[in-house]
Amino acid sequence: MTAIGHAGPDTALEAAEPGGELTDVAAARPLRKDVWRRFKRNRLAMVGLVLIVLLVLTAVFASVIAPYTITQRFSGEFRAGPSADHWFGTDLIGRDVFSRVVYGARVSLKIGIAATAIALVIGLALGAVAGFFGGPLESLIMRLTDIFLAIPYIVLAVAIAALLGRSENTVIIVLGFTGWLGICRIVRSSFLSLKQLEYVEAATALGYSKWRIMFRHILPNALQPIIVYGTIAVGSVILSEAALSFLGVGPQDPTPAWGLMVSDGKSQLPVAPHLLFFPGLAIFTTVLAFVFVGDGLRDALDPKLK
Amino acid sequence: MPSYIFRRLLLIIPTVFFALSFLFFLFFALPGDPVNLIAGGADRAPNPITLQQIEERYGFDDPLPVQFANYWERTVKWDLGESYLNRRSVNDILGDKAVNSLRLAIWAILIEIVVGIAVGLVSAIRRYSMADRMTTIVTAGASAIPVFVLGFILQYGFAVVPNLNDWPEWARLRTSRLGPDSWAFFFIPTGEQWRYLILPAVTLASVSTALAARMTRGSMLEVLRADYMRTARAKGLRERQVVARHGLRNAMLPVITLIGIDFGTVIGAAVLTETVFSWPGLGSEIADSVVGRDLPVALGLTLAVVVAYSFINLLVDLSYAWFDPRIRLGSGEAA
Amino acid sequence: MRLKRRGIKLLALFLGLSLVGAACGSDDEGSGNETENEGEAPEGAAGGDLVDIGTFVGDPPEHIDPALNSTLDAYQVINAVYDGLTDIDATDPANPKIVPHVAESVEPNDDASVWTFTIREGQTFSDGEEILPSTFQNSWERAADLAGDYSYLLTFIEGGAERLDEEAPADSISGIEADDEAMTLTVTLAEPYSNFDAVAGFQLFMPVPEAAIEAGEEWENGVMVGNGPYAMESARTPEEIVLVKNDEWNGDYNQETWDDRLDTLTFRVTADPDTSYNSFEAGEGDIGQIPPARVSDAEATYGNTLDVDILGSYHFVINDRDPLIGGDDNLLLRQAVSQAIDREEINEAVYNGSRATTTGITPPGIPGYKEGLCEYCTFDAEAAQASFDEWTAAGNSQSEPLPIQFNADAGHEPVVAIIIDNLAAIGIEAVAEPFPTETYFTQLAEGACTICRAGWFADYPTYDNFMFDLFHSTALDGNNYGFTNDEFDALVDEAKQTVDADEQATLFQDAERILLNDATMAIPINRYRGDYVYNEDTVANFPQTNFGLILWEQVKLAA
Repeated sequence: MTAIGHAGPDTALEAAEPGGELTDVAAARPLRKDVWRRFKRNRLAMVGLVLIVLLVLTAVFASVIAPYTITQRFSGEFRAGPSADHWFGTDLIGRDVFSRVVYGARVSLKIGIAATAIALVIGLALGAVAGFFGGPLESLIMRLTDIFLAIPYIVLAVAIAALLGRSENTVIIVLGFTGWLGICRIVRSSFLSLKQLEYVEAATALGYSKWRIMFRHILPNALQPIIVYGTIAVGSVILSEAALSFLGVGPQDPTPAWGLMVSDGKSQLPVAPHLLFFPGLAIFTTVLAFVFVGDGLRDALDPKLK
Repeated sequence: MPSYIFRRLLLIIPTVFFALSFLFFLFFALPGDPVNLIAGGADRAPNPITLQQIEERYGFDDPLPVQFANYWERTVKWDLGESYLNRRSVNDILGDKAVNSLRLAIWAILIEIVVGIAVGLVSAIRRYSMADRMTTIVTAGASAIPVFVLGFILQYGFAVVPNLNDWPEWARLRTSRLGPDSWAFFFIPTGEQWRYLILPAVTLASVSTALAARMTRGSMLEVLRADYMRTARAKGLRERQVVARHGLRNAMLPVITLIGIDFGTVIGAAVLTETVFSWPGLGSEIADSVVGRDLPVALGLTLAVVVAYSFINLLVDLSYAWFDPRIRLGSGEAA
Repeated sequence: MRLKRRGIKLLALFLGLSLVGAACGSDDEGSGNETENEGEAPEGAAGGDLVDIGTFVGDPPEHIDPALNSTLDAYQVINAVYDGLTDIDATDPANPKIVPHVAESVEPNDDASVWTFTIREGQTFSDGEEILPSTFQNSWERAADLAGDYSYLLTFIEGGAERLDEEAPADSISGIEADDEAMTLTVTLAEPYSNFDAVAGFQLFMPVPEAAIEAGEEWENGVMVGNGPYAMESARTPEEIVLVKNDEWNGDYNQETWDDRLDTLTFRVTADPDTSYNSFEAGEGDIGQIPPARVSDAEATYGNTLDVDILGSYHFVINDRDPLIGGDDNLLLRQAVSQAIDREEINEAVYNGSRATTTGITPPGIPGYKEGLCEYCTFDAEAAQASFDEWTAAGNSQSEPLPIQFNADAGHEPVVAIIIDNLAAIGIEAVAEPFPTETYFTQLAEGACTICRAGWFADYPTYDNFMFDLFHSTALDGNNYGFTNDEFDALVDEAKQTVDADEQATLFQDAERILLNDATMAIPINRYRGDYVYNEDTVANFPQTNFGLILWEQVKLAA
């Protein structure tokens, strides 16, 4: 995910590079059981997985967990520090920060997952077509990614946000439509090497349609770096939302987006640090969790790393 | 090789053309009428005659395709127009800001290369050591903090606190602005300048340094297991020589790729860093101009970034040949 | 002074975010941060260099030409570089007076339709060019040609509108008669106007040398020459504006020349209020801006202008054309909205209790001000509920939530959030509708708002600067909201022409009563306070008037 200040594409490159060796990887697609066994041994990855599970539960049961709603105000309790009533304190206008952070899990996960999904769909489709069909189609698609890679995505992001207005959905669209470039490249190079393998030739000889070969035979083998990439990207999208909020093109109050809360809380740092700290901590642990799980998946999916 | 470079240089032209053309139409779709903006009539309806004059002067009354053609005609002649907001020549703005951004970027990249690669190497060679574990956590952590928060914390910790506690003058770093603008050899800060440079450079470098470290570690681990390394060891070379002569060079390929592709991330981080530190560079100016619908500035500065990006990637590809002699350029595109 | 566009962003950040002063009343700062500096005789060093990082926060000023600027922050520079015909003596903030400055006398005729300014002899610009009555004529015609945002003020003068006509501009402004022999400038107004002396000192009417007339709109991009206490050292850059002491200065309105004033005055642009304050605390400037969160800190630790009660108004205006809330049928709804808003709570939460809550648009300190004009501007949930119920009982209902519009990212979000909550408490649904600052005011001009945030600083101490400029149906930018009330207009028109101060005051007050009670088209919220912070170790005197202006000639560094 090309995101603003994040770990996405580059970490995924680790998974994809050096390109040529993907051939070996694909030839030996690891068994699911082995992957899980190797993943379990990675303590950081397990911590990350537990955190993500907790995060998802928080998002699903936000209305049960949060003691108050996101807009409920406590008159007179402005910028109050953490207390028994308000675990994470109250914000500028007296709203419960804990409740907002809890509901924020929904917003942030929604943004993270939806934007990543958009990027994956576009990147997979274009990358697969480019890698599989080759020829002028490939040139066209690769030129397209070159062009978009050359445009600083932050310019695109700010422009799209200005065009569509500020909202959660805009953030999703902005980050989704600027995030597919890395995926497209990775998928293309996977397809390039995989399509030369014997089993693909065999499938072709059997007269299977090109689409069937692409999706049934090649795609599953090309998924490994994409899984890693996608996992880490969810975290980096959440981080990018903070950057967009800082630039004034993110979601709007009263949306309890963590990035928006951090961006707003920044000015209160010296007087009410809890306004920055708690949503900041939520972003931090979430991004880390996805990075750890992504790293763990990469190691677990790579049979050469024992 | 020369023909390869020539071909790649030619390819930059369509990339720049389509990227800028895309942005041209995107910016025109933005809400907010530039004519009103130029008229300064932000809070009342401007005089229709003023509007008409502006339309004529800037050619807004032409159909969009004509405006588009005019835009390229001027751009090809390296006339980037003038700012809608303050009428400054975009060529001048670009000149001023690019130099400042470049200096900041040079230092950020130096930090990225030196610190990132060193940490990554140590981490790979001493795998599973305490240092390695710390690296894993710190580098992951560094890329999980929003850049602007990091900048704000650094400002507070290294500039405000030292000043309030009367630390010696040299230990008080600066929070904002370019400073005295005194440089030797273009990028070496002299006199007071380094106190202004250090915080934004570290902030800008933070994300990519963490990535470079992770990347170096991963790729070095890969290389250390390679057959030719075993061969080298078998030849009786000492481990240090093995790593230095054979390992490092090979491990650098993906790291170099990262530095090339990472350019976009650096621009993104630069927007935030330059904004937080009031560093008068391209990044903050681009973001401001897009938000402010100042199309000539936005397009002109983006043009520079797009061209820079294309050249950096060309350099990256060329450097493959140096790092890995097995790669011969010219036979198809580099990976 | 308007809050607008880039300027708006500045000022909005500047003001909207400036949660000034922890406690209402002024604590003793002990330092010369007040305008009432008689007898205070601040001690300090002579000369010295001062760096201001608190005036330009966000963006560099768009304009610093007096004919073009319309923001308070750039007026700080203009006020240091130029002097006008008249000046405001705000020594007593409660009773600001118009005093002659570059003019030695100002004489209206009986019905205030012809004004005669006698220019003091021997005054020059910093380059030595003499200031004559014709200088003003030329400067004003230039201002008409540049057609800045404030150029409509020239229509007060006979022939001004004709000169402003862009299709066929008149050769001159016929109402101006400059006699360089007699040193008199005689101005015939289009309509009698009893406060023209106040307007005549405003930036648009400040004198500029001949070179400015040649340079046109490029003047502000070069080294502007003026007649104020400071002169530009070099052309402005996007990063800073540097002023140096003007040794040719003719003195203030008392002919006092403040010879010990600063040697240089540097305005530097900072990114936002947080950076401004951080940089100030890091010792990078002598004067900074106080962001919302740092009010108590600034008050306890540093010199500040938090106790300066700025003559201005932070309010919401209702779009009379919007069927959701405009029109006669919705009067009760509007009254309910105004009564439902807990202004004290907004002040406490958003502004740290630092602003002055208000019950009118026109602030105390403006001649003619009267307290308690508004019947619906204080928080009264029961009364609001009753009004709302009555409105509902009359067969009305909300077809959709009331949108409240404001410019985003300028600190208004929490204010609107509280208002929405207040309204919800009595059953009125409302939603926030932020606009990008860049387009907000254009949208207002097109009437694309329902309950619209607005703010205003007084340009000069006159009641009409609030009533006429903001709400009169013929004011060039006052009528964005469809408020056309013949009775209101008639009262304001009559008041403007009335020479007797008491009579004039009564007329204006009646007009404001119509605005706030009979029509309820504006919802006053609070008044701004100063938000400059300075280090008492380095700055000995830093007077800010209640017009927001710094008296730069009186600023002194510590010994």
